[in-house]
Amino acid sequence: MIIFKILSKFIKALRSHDSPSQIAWGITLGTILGLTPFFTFHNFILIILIILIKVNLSAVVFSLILYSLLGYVLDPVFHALGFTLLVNVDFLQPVWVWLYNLPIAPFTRFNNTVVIGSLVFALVLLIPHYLLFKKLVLKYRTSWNTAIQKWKITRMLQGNKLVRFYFKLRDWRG
Amino acid sequence: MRKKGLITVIILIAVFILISMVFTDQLVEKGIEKTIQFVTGAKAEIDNLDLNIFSLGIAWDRLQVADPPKPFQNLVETGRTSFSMNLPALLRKKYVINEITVLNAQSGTSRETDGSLPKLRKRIGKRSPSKWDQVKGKITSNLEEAELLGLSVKDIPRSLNTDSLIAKADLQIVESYEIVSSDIESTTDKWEQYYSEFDVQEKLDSIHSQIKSIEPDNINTIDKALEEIEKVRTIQKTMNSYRKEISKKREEAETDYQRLSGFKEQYKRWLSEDYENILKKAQLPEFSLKNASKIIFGKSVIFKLDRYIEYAEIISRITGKPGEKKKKKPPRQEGQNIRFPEKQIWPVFLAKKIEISTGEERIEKQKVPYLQGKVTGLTTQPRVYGKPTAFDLRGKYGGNREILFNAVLDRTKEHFADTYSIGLRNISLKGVEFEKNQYVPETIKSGFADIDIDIRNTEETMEIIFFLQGKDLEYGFRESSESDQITATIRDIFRGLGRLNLKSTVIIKDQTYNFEIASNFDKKFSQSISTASSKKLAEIKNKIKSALQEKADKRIAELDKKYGNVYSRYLQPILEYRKESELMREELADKLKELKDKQTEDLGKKAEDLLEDLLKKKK
Repeated sequence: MIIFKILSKFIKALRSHDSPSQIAWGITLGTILGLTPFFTFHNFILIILIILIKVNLSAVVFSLILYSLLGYVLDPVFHALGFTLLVNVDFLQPVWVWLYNLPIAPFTRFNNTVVIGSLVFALVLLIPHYLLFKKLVLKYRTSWNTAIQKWKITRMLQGNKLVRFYFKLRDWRG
Repeated sequence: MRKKGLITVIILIAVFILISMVFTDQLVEKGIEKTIQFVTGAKAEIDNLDLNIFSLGIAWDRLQVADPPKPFQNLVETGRTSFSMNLPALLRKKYVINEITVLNAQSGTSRETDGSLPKLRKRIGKRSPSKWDQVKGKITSNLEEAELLGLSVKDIPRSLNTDSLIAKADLQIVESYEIVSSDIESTTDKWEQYYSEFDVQEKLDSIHSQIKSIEPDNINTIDKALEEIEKVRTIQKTMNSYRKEISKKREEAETDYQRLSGFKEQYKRWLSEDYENILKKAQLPEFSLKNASKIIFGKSVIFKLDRYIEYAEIISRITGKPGEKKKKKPPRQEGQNIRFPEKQIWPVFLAKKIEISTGEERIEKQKVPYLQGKVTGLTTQPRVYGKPTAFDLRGKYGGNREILFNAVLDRTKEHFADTYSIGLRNISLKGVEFEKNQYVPETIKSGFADIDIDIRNTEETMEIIFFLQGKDLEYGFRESSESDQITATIRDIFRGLGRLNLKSTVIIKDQTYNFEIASNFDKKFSQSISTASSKKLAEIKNKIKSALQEKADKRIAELDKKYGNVYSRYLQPILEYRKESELMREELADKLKELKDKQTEDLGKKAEDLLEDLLKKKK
């Protein structure tokens, strides 16, 4: 089951040498990727950023999948939020018109209600997310790790071939 | 910063640039070729396209667009062509080009390979059948029918029994006689009944005699005068009562008069319809002056027009028509795209100016023309661009030959209005073949012509004017005997027809059309032909006409007699009663005045006499 493999990777990432900040940033950036429609300009920039900076990739993938599912459910909310921002908030109108006339505007798809709604939602949650997950990683490492290691499912997932391949790849990336 | 990550990004960018350099040229080349093919329905080929992704410049060495009706010829062949795309527009998936420079563009060059794409051409034709497509078949089949009638000229019967033809026909002039006659009779009966109770004429006559009986000059006493005045008042009262009675019947009389009095006009129509029906039954050929040119040149003109209209339609397809292609609303989960005011709006495709040029020194030796001129505002969304697309092209080639092409495609408003003007100057007609027809020559051996074709196409109508002026024409005929008189006459006319002026107009509206051709051939044809077959035809027609006229006249005379009776006896007195009564009223008023004057005069005289008597007694 792919979901268990991803979960396994994520749990191992929590126990890895990566700092809590790297894991928290990985989850936070993955949240933006997951919540907003994938083929957008900001996600392209975000992916390059993820490749370039030291954030935990397992955390990014785990967060991306988890929040994509959530994003699908929340689409109507994003649409309503985006519509309000694009249409009903008067003081934002000059900003939107200016953005709309930028040559790069078509790639950003900011004028789409779901895109802008989900992006604003994800950005608002950016810092609280980061702080929350950093605290959770620390808590995991100090308190929960030993207990979770004893779970049968954890041991089962650790023996998976794919997971072992991931470790090799992780070591190669340094 | 991850070092390996940075290397990955750099590698990805390098691969992207490499792929762009290797494959984009081919992709763009295929894309442009397919777009042109989709418009023309014939093969388009580009040689050595070069795309510069940094400057967004595109250039190619050669473009060949095959001529759909002549797949081994090129409709257009260009030399070096170059242009640059507008970056801000391109980022919005709009293809905007400020200027395209085309060198050495030619029309009519020969191809090495077959350029036809029959499946695509058929699909394009089915997708958007034009007004022309809708009526072309009808025009051709009508021309074939006209031709068949023309061919039967030689079979005019030497003696046609017009009496039996008329006897067999269901003539309206005979059948309607009974109807009109019984109508007159029943109307007569109706008024006869009325007159038996109230004879208008009799009443008029009695009033008239009463008025006549009043003679103011013969009145001597006042009592007599008063008596006569009373008589006048009684006549006035009687007249008023008659007037009331007659007014009630006047409307009815007017309706009867309107209905019955129109029978002569009706007879004229019936006579004409009967005549046409008998001609149809007799199957007499209609080889008149009016359609001689149509039979002789019709198919060839239609064939020529068909080709030029196809070219016009190719151009028309480049430019979008108003109201075409409505975008579908995206599904809900994809969100809604909100539009904001744009500083600059571009159409999906726009070539603001296409400059076509060539070297003058090439002209003299060329067999096909080099095109010069410009095309402005070529766009798929004219309403967005707001200006019409205009073509102004000319091509010169050897022997003072010239092609002119002007077109304005105005699709900026709700309803489109396109005008095309094609001019061919001094073109050789040598080898031009006519449509197969026994009268028409097989080919033109030598000669030149100026041809003008004007097409005006709007939402409702399509008007096409074709004008040809042929010079020094010599014709080649098929090997066949000239046994029939018409064929021999027509061939003789062609032998002497060095100059040919031919004008054809086609007007198409609501799937109906009007197709006319006139030429100087008609005049010569009428002069030659009228002595023979048309004279014979005219004789037969006259015989039928006079036989019908005779039948109609006889019945008209009978009906006229009956109608005259009912009119003069019954309808006229009622219809003219008002006039008559006015005259009588005036007459009565005059009499009354005279009586009153007389009365005043007599009273005065009597008063004077009495006064005189009194004075005498006093003395």
